[in-house]
Amino acid sequence: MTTPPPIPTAIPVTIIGGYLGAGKTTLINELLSTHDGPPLTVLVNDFGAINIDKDLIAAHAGDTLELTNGCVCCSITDSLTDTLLRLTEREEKPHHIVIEASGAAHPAKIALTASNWGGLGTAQSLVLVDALTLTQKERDKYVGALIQDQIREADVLLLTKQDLAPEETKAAARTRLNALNAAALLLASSNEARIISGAMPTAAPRQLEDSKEPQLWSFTLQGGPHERKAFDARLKDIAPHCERIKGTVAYTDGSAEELQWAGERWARQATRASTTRLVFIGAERIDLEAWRGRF
Amino acid sequence: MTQITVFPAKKIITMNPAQPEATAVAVRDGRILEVGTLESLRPWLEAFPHKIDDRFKDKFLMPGFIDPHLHPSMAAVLLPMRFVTAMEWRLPWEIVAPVTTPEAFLKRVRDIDAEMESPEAPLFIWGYHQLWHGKMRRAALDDISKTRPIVIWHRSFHELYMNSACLKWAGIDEASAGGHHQVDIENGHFFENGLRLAMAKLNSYLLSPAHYHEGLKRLARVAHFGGHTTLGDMAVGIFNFEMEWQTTKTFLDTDETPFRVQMIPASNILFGEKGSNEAALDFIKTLPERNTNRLRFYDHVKLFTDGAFFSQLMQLKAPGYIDGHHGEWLMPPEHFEAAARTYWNAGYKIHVHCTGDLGVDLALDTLAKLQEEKPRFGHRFTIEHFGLSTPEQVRRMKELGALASVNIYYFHELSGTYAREGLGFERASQMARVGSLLREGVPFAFHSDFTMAPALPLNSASVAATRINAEGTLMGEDERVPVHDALKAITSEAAWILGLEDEIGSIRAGKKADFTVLEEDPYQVAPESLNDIPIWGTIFEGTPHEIVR
Ligand SMILES: [Zn+2]
Repeated sequence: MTTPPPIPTAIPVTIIGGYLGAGKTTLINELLSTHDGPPLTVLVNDFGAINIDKDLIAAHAGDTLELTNGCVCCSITDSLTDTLLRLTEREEKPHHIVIEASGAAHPAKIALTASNWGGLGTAQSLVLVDALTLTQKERDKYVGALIQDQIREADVLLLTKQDLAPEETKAAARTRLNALNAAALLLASSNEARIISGAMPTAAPRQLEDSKEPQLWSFTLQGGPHERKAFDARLKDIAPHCERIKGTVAYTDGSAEELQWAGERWARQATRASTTRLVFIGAERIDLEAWRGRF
Repeated sequence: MTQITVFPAKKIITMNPAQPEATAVAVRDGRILEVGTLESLRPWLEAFPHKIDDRFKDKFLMPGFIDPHLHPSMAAVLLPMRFVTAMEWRLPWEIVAPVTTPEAFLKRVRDIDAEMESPEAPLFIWGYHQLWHGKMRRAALDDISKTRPIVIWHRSFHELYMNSACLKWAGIDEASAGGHHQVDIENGHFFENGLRLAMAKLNSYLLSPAHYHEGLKRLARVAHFGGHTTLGDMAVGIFNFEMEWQTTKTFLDTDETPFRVQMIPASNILFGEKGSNEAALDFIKTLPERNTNRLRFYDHVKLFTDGAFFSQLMQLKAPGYIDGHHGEWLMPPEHFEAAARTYWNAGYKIHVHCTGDLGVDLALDTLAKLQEEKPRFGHRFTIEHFGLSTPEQVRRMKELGALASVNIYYFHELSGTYAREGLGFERASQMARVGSLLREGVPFAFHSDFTMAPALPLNSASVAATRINAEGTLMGEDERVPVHDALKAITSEAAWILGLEDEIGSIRAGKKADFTVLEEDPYQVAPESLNDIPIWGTIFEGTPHEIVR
């Protein structure tokens, strides 16, 4: 099935995943306490987010909703879909939805649930990995395979607890993430995670006039395959406005490429993929919706 | 004092090894006074007024059947639907004949549509499977009706198809759902995560009082039809705790209901509602205050480890799945352990949903740890489902005192398919390894997990005693059990697993007067014919309830 072009007014969705202890709750609290963009709608998982500071939400005019586990043995009720349905049917649409995945979840599966219907855009899955415990967790009898799956399926990765980790531990963790998922964008800091998650002002048209903040934005392009020449032309146009671009593009001729744009330079190599997943992060005023529409 | 009733029978199969057979049982106020012969009952009969009810004199009495694990709420959603299935389903109101070709499937749907009076009433069909019924299309359903919303639900519950009238009725269109990766609007097809979207729209109908209440009433008939006198609702709260309790109380706590329901709360759902394991435990402790004669909460609780067996999401030890995919944890192992510790320390009897062998490992490792921290005898820690396991795990279950409540129907329906896909022959042939449980002396019961399997205990017993699967293939013959042990698994052992061994599960003085009345002797028929034995009905707490056909 091919994906129709992104709906211009699509609501951005970010899935924050990663195993227990990776720092999901800390990041969400940080998003809530420091965000100064339009209000965030945060869906927290009842099993993971025991420590979400509810006061923060009230203080920042955001909205949090708790997800329950739903029915585990069938697909009859599902708290996430119900909640998303309620949100998207509201008169006032959410500006950006952040979903905290359970530690046991595959964020990529949640991204599928929360993408491209009812006005939702393509969800980005941001997976947090604890730099200190990655090696040990990967060997865990029960969750080793799960943690590797979470990393492999991520659009964007963030290595957490870097301030506590010795340099060689950090380097080893980065090498490991690259080995498991070279296509994912590895964020440099939790500040970039705030951009991804909509906690920074974006360059959406309504913001262009009055905001004096640096214009930071991010989106994920998903679907394809794309016609190589036309796609290339668009990429060349948008790249100068981007801080970073990373991911995989599938072309109509059956080939695919792994792309990376950083520091004004392209790195590209052939790979195998049947669909496109490309993450863009920008720091310049552009008409994001118009750009999105061009792909 | 109430009169004594005596039921003479051709044979009473007591499941009490100290007195396996009898020919008469005396009952008063819902309890058994004595089982034996008319002669041996004389001291009771001479001392008190009594009547002899000899309508069962040519029939066979067994202890009332027990299904220790099913889900009335899920059944209530499913049962008002029409079944069109590739396998025979025996329901009290119809024997659903197998439909095994695409043409026959659509014809059956068309016939059902034609039978219905209102042209606008929604029609839900359950049981479609592409292996038999071919590719489904919205256009083919539109051909059947342009006005009636029609839903075709897959046998696995993981996908469905809608006709155009249904899309309109549910308020789903290209704009609202077309972009979803697991929705094919063109064909009205919703699968996996896309199904969630469809369900979110259909739930207002499926969980509406009219639909749900009808479903619960049908569940009562299904349970009676299978010969049950006790059920375990093994996850109260899967939809909505208070709604389920209220409706169960309204529809099942009546004098006409010929069974009791043990209510076992789903701890993870209550964790979600109450915010912590401790708060959930505090709530669960208050639940027995609500008990009635038929509906009872007690010191049993339900926990979960790994994903669904029907979806190949169980967690596997090496060598894993053939295609290399991984199963799922329903909650992070650390959370499972924390919940188990809370209930273990509070003295609860823990039932753990485990489908794969890695799930069983997690449950047993946790049990070993808890035994170390706070040793307990008589803990009745039970592995529920027991899909895939190893012989060594069975031995370890014995060592740790764990029990098994087995969905033997996994073997029946899936062993053939899983031998070819996912697991390979060796592991598929040994799923639900009850022979090993018997050899190691681990107590085990059979359950239906209805609606995952038919709620027919004699069918479960037959599958366990034959290990002939749905394709007619004998697989894993060394995991078979003798008929007697298979019958224990639906009576005395099921009572043990529900912690009700003092009340039910066998026929002896002092127990509840619950009996299942059979037309033939289960020891005299071939194991593969056990499920063909006609069931007259049941006696619940001394009162006969005939199955009305
Ligand atoms: Zn179940």
